[in-house]
Amino acid sequence: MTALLLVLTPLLPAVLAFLALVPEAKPVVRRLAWIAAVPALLTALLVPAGSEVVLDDVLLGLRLGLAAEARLFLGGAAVLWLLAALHASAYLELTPRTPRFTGLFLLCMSGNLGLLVAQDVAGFYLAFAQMSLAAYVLVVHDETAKAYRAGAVYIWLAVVGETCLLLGFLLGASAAEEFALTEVRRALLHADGAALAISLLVAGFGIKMGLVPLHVWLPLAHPAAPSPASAVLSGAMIKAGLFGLMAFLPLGTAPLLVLGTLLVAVGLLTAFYGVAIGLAQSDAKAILAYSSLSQMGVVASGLGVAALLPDAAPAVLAALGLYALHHGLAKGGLFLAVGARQKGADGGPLRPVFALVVAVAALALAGPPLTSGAVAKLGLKAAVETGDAVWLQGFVLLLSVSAIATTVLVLHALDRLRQVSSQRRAPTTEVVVLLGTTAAAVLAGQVLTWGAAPTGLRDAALSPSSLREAAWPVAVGVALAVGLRRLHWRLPAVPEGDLLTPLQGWAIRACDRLRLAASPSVLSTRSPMPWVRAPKLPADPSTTLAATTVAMLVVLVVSLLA
Amino acid sequence: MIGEAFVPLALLACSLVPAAVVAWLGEAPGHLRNRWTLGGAVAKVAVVGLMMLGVQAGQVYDATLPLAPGLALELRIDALALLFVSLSAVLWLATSVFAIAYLAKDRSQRRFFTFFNFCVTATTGIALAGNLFTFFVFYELLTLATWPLVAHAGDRASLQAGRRYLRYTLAGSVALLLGILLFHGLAGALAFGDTAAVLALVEGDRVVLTAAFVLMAAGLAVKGAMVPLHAWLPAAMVAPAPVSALLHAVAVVKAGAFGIVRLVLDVYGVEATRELGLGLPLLLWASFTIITGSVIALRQDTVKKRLAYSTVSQVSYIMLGVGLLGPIGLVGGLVHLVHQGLMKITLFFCAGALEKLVGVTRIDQMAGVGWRAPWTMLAFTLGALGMMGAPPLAGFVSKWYLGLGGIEIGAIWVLLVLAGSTLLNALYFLPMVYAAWFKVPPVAGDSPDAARAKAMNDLFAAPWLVGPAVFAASAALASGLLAASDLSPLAWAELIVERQYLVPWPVPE
Repeated sequence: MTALLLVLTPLLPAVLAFLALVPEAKPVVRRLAWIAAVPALLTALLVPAGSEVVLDDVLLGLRLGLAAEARLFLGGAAVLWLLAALHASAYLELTPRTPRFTGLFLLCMSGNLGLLVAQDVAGFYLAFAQMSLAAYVLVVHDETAKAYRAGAVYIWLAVVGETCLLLGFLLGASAAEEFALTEVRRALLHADGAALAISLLVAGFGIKMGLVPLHVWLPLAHPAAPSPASAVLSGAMIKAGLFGLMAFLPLGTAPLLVLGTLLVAVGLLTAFYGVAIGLAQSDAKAILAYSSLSQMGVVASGLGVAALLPDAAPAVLAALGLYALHHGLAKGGLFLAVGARQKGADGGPLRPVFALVVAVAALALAGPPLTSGAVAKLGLKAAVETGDAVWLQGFVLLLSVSAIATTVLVLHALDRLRQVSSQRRAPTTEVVVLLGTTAAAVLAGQVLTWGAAPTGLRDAALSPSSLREAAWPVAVGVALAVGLRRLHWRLPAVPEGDLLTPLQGWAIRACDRLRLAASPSVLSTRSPMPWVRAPKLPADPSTTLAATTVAMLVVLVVSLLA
Repeated sequence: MIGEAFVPLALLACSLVPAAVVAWLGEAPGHLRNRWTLGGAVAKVAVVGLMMLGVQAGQVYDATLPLAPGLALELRIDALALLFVSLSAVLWLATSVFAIAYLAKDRSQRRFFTFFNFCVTATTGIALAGNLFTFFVFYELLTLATWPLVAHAGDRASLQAGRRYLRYTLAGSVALLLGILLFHGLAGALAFGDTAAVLALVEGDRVVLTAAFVLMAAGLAVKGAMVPLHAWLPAAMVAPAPVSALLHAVAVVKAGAFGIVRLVLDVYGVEATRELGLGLPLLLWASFTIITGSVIALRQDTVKKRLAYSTVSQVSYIMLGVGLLGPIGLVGGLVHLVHQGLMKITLFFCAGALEKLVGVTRIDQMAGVGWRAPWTMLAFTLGALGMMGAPPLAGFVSKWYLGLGGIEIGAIWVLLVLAGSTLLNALYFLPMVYAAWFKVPPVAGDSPDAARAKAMNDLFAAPWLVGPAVFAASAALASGLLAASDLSPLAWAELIVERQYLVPWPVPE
């Protein structure tokens, strides 16, 4: 049973992905795509930690298993993929492009869920690459100019990221002389070339996580994709970058000074940069994307602390898993909410329900008392404080400041969400699906985060001091937001993808130059070795050819006999 | 034993007999000609399958025809020969099916299929050759047999391409011949695999051995299309698509690459090559070709030309793997011999199918073609992703082992070559894939989605034209997805290296 569940986790979505392209099965698969995530959910619930199944014949010896830290990731991702698949079945209009979306959505799901259960490098790489490449189709589905631009930036960064990962994995596998993930992680601690391997892995996973300055694809891709796709991009796929770092970095044995400092610095930079640029956005989905960026910065800085302080590493890694679960479902829920609103599924008698769902999700991100965000943030702070270093006080304070910033940003997002409008009123069945999945995602985020938190943490989160601790940043944030609103959000407008805009002019020029070179007859008609002029043969060379060949054979035979 | 000698000859006969019969049949009865061609190809696959079991069990088949003292035609089937023969047998069957469909309306089918079958005979001979003399004989037969195929169309461009092909390959043959003579003068007539004798000569005759190696490698590199000896290959793109497919995946280019593999592994041997310090130059040359070929491919605007330069780049992966001279790199190079064949033949089948089905030959015509020929473009997409090295396709496995092989001998820079090649492959393959599935062809009066709703099922419309591409793509997928199984090309390559060439790399202090 365990083995079957582990195998079906990536396999069922992949099989359904293929079926989605078969004409006769298309409509059925479109409606039942959510079933693909069920094995993953069952795996997260039922499979004991540390179990493993080895498929000797597949790839380079595929190992699937459930590592302890993967359970929360897998559960959260499975719930979100399931709900997003349901949401998409109502969200997408039927066009000839729909099967393409459904198929690649499922392929992407297979990769995302597969990488969480992969226990060997080749399998992990396969799943990660499958997810990254397939997601391109989700980004460009709408086929607008905006989507194509987002897709182009996305795919090139994804390919570069995959290449970095491949090299990192090769170095790791070579050092370990084995492909099992745990061995590779161990080898990366001491082996020659480990520093290079780790740098490549951080770059590769950092692109996926959206760490500044590798983030430029993220705020373009999230708004461009259809909302259910944005939900999984933001809620599940960028978490894969975090998961990859957790799976491969050799944390918890010896302090990794350079890596830790880098991650803390880049993480904090990303956390505040994301908020700052996010506030200068006007599109709700772009704001949410920048908020995701900022949150991934927070977790990256937590990872940096784990790298610096090996004693704190186990607690921090556990806390990061909880944080990812909370953020994935809350943010995924918000993107689904945007989708519901785009389709006009928020009006009528259900309007208060919609408002409540959105408010809970947005607040949870900010983390006032009793929300999943409060537990996740407290868990992270408490875990960090198990370490022993003078600067930790400052770090924890920065986390609180980041909560203030997040509060301002999500309120800005809510403000902008009100301006998303729809021309149509969704029919009842659609409303049920669109709104139901949104509410389910948000609710699952609350329930699962509280449920998965250790008892001690749950009790601590309800203690008066923690309630205070959780409340003040949100209160300050709300006050700031109200103040800003009074000032009519007089903030500069920054285009989505910020740094990209100046970079892109340069890139386009470079690409144009390459394309220009693709004019006919360049190099194709000219011999590239003009200095070697072969002797001119008579007009009909076949006789000469035969003669030459025979002559050569004769020469050979004669000289060998001599 | 009669049986042992019989098997290699039977393999040759599987293609030689159809060649003769097709020539004798004349132009008229198409069915008979097709039956003989396909029958020979099927029989060959069957014989190869049987032999595989034998070779896996350690059997060596040998047929020797002494011509004179010290000079013999020797056909021998070892694991390496079988790797190449099985690739060519399987892909030849697919190409035969494709060629029959592609050339259905052609006027000179008799000539085409005669030389087509003759060409596979020569390739089989190259694979089975047991010494340099035999190798050279079949190598030249291949040159002879391929020329009419390249110049098949008979127009000015084809004849010109044919002439260029001859100039290059003949010049290469001269170099190869000189190299062989030089080598024989020194070492005598050695059977492949007798490398201890060469190793013994390294001390005394370093210069002559090196010169002979360089001459032979240069001669082989012409057919192997290593930059700057590659220019005949893109020119030969005027040939019909099935010819391009076999040139690139099985016959001529592969024969050059296979020759270099034989040269390093079985003529000189890994240790002698290392002693002579010839690994690094080969490695550098291969790396240069990999990058340069891809850069030139970027600048092409016709589908087949771009694929041709991609071959220039990809075939040098094989040379790269051999040049590494370590067991893991060797596995990577040998397995790429098969993998590159599977992926590239997929791409050329697709190019041919696109040309016949929807009239697309230039890259800028590919807009929206995925909706008009979905199966073809699905196969093309798989082939292209494989070339980029995306898992779980075959190209990933090659790249994985080449990378590990590079690290194994301490040549980390090889990783940069692989990474650069991956990115360049993405740069010239992804835009084609993108155009096919995401761009919309300019159709008057139709909205994009309306134009797409008229998608057709190309596999059912032209099964013999599209089927081979789908088959080859599936094979490329399967050999990557099931790489660790006992039946995969990877397992076979590992068997070869383990059995024949296992040489631990002296670990640098």
